Amino acid sequence: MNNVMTFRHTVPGWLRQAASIAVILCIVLAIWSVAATLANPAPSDPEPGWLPANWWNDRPILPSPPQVAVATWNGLFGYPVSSPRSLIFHAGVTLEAALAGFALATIIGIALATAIVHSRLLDKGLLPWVIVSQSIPVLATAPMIVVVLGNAGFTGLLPKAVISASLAFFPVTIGMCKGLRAAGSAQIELLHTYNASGSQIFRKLRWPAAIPYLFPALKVAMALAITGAIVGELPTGAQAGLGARLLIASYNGLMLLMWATLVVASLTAGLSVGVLTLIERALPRFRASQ
Amino acid sequence: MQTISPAPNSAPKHVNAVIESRPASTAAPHSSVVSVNGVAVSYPSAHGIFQALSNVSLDVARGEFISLIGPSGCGKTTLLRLIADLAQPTSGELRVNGGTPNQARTDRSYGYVFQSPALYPWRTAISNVMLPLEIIGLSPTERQQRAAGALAAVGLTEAAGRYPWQLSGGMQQRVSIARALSLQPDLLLMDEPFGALDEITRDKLNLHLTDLWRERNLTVIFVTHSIPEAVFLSTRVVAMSANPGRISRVIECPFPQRRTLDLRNTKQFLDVSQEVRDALSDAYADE
Ligand SMILES: Nc1ncnc2c1ncn2[C@@H]1O[C@H](COP(=O)(O)OP(=O)(O)O)[C@@H](O)[C@H]1O
Ligand SMILES: [Mg+2]
Repeated sequence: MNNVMTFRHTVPGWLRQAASIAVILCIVLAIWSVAATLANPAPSDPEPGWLPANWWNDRPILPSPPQVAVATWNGLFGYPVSSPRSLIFHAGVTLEAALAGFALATIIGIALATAIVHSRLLDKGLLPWVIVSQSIPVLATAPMIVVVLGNAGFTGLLPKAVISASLAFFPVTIGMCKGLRAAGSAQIELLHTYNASGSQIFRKLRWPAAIPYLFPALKVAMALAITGAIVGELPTGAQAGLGARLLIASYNGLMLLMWATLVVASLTAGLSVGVLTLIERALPRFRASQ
Repeated sequence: MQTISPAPNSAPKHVNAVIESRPASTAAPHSSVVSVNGVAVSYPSAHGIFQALSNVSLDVARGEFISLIGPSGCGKTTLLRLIADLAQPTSGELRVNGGTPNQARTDRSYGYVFQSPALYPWRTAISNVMLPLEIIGLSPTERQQRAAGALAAVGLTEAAGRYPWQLSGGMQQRVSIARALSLQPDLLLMDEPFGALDEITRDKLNLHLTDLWRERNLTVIFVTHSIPEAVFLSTRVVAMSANPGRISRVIECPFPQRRTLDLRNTKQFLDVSQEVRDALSDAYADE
């Protein structure tokens, strides 16, 4: 108990967080290694080495951790960034659509939440639809969005951004509905005693009170926006983007490429969410007091 | 007016007496700052209709300091909210500065201090005090000046740049009083502003408040649970009882305007306190 206390008090928070992430990572890697050893047949001409021979199978069923690490590294740094074989190139294409979708989702989410908290009718009439919209699989809506927008003359970035936004607007809407309602009744009545207008109440109270709810919602939205952009690349027959890469890998049974692409997708999401966390930290912080 | 008939000096007579004793305000009796006439408030409840206030009448003259005291649930907050136009009476009539409470609110002619400081945590102390000045559209320099003045009036000049969570409970409540003063209202409505503070802090703030009241010739309606606080601050103490919420007695506190803490050791103070205590024990016995 005593040791735990001193550990808590002497080790900085970020280090403790890094340590717990490392522990989880080690557990995942251990399970993955065992599974890779069991799943893959041994290659016909095993190379000598200290790792299990079937970890280097050319067409693995379940690629081993070092195999995926090497494939990811090559995908990222083995080609010039402009090359269609570079995963950085594809991640850039996907990220562009995801950021556009994220921006769209943020605007739509905030606008919807603002409308919902200001109108009892919309609260009753609109919010259920917002929730239902998320139970429709994006794999079903994505081709529809592509076809509709394609007929209207929009191709390329926009359909992907819209698909991405259709996933990402949801956490923003829900988070901001909660945030815009977070102000206490005394804080609101205070403004009534000044005869403040509705827009003043929004600007001076509801909006700043919602900021602590906005960032957690934006982080979820960012991750969803990237998922959405990848899914959006599947039905568009896109030549570029992580989704297009996944499709090619899956058609050709290139398990290693598939895994490497997925790792890069996670890294992209992690980095984007990390940037949001940095922005959040840079903002003046306050404790919710009441 | 019937509700306060048990009190030896009924309201209208008393108002006249107060006005006569203040040559500054030579206005007619109907110019009282707050006048409450046969007001009732009821809410639907599980057992039919709940009477939060029943037949309440009260006249408050300019420069008076009125304390509302009584068991919880007797409608003190409700009465304050009616005056502030934050709630509406079921029946009866209220006048504030001769007009309706709604006119008084749109004129911003009162300052309201809530039970909780209700500060905005993302604003510093001075920026909280500037909030009402932003709402009424003062220029930034004027806001700054007025807010600094209001903070100085509650003795918080050094804390201007601090956030609410960096302030003690007493300092937070002083910021909220400065915020109410920043609009320079003549009427201050205060709902148990010092209820959550320790006794020493409360004494300090009471002294501060009585000085502000005297120097600025404010009219104050003040809700409290503390008999010494009520008697120390007030020109009249309004004792209320619950079920239905009503005024049971009005007790005069005939002390000079300038008040210091040693007033509380005088015989007169103790006598008035006893009178309030008696009125309240009746109110609590009613429950
Ligand atoms: N909006 C409301 N709806 C229903 N009951 C209320 C409402 N506001 C106040 N009450 C009731 O009225 C009574 C008086 O409340 P209040 O004025 O807050 O009392 P006090 O401030 O004296 O403790 C309480 O019993 C309270 O529950
Ligand atoms: Mg109350």
